[in-house]
Amino acid sequence: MELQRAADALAIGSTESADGSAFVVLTSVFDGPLDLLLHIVRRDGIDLAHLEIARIADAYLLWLDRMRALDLSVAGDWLVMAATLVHLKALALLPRPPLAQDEEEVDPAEELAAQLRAHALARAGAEELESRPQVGREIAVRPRDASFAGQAPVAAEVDVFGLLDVLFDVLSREAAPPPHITFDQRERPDPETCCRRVLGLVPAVGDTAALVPLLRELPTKAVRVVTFIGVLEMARVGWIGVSQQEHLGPIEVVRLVEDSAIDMTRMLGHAGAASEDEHEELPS
Amino acid sequence: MSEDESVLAFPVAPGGVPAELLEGVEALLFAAGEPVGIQPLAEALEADPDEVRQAIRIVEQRRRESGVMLERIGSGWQLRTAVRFAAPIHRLLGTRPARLSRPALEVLAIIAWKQPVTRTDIDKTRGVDSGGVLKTLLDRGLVRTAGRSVDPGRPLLYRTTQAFLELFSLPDLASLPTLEERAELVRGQAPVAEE
Repeated sequence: MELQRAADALAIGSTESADGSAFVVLTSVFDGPLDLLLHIVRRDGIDLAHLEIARIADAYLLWLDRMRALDLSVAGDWLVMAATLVHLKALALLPRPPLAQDEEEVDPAEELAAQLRAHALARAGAEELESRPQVGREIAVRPRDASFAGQAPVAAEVDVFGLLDVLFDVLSREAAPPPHITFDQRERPDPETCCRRVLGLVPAVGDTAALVPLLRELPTKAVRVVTFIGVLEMARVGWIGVSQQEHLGPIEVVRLVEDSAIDMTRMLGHAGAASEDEHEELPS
Repeated sequence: MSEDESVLAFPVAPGGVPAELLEGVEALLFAAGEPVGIQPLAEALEADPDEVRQAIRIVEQRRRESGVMLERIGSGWQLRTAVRFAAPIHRLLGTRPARLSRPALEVLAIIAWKQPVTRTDIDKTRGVDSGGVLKTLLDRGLVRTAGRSVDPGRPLLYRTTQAFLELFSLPDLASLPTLEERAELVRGQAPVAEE
């Protein structure tokens, strides 16, 4: 609340001594135009039930001028509010056309007052929350005990008939002919390119990258498979590490060696040997 | 004499609850860390829920003057350190107090007091765009989406979560006070200096 008070002081000070010589401290004084309006209303003790648009509009525009004079950038929101206020002020000065029969009169000032009231309540709510004891600030709590780490059995809501359904399903699947599998290696992904791509994502020793998004970005299934095997292979020869901080958490790749220590032939010997098989078809 | 013997065999705490149950409740809540409801406690302890409720009442009473308090958070009960030890705890752990930004608190407040609300409600109340802040709060699990409004375009509705109650030490949403007084909306009242 210290900051808010300082901010209020700054706002008032700049309104009263705008000779340009004042030392300007930039803080996030007002988050938006409504904050400034609320400040004006409170400072001048204006009653929200009888909002004097003209007075508020003048004060708001004056403040906007000061902001410009102080070289503060004024975002679009602020100008929209200025335009709205000027519009409301004009409406208040002009005689109003008679209303159509079923038209209900909406006092624009009342609408603005309602918005200001809602805004004041939101700020009060924020202060209320801020004043409450918070975990991580005043209160420590224990995490769930991690040493009792045995997996809880998965409880499935299945009765005997449900289990039988599963059994019959499996048995009938067994009876079906095995699927026709084709290995198509016409566009064989290059293992070295795949490995280099992974290493490129972790350029320096100690860099990390998430494995799953990396694989997902790859264009074809074949490239994904080769990249995945490449990751395992590079982990095996110790160029990268693969780790997972928590159960089911993201899997991370971390680089362990410099580029100079990487000799692709050492690894590609394996990959090359493994990919000698020609385009072949398995009979069903 | 026989009555005395039964007392020795089954120590009973004031309030008519077996001491074993009081100790059990503490042990389970310590192990769980997060808030736990009466029902799961009763099931784990193989005890009567009403007795567990009574046990919790006694433990809560006893712990009120201690360093670790028993508090109701959302639908469960949780062991939490007393507020007065905040500074030494941070010193021991070498941590700094975690703080939410002002805009984050405002968006949380709007959702908490008016839920369910749409993104438009939030933006209009704050007078500025709140998309980024809302995203952060969703990521932190402090708010969640809760269906869609019947308004044109069927915008998403937002609500606070159990994690929100936990963070701000709230037993339930009904414990949030009304804000009119704090908002200084009482007619003609000058702003009250904040402490």
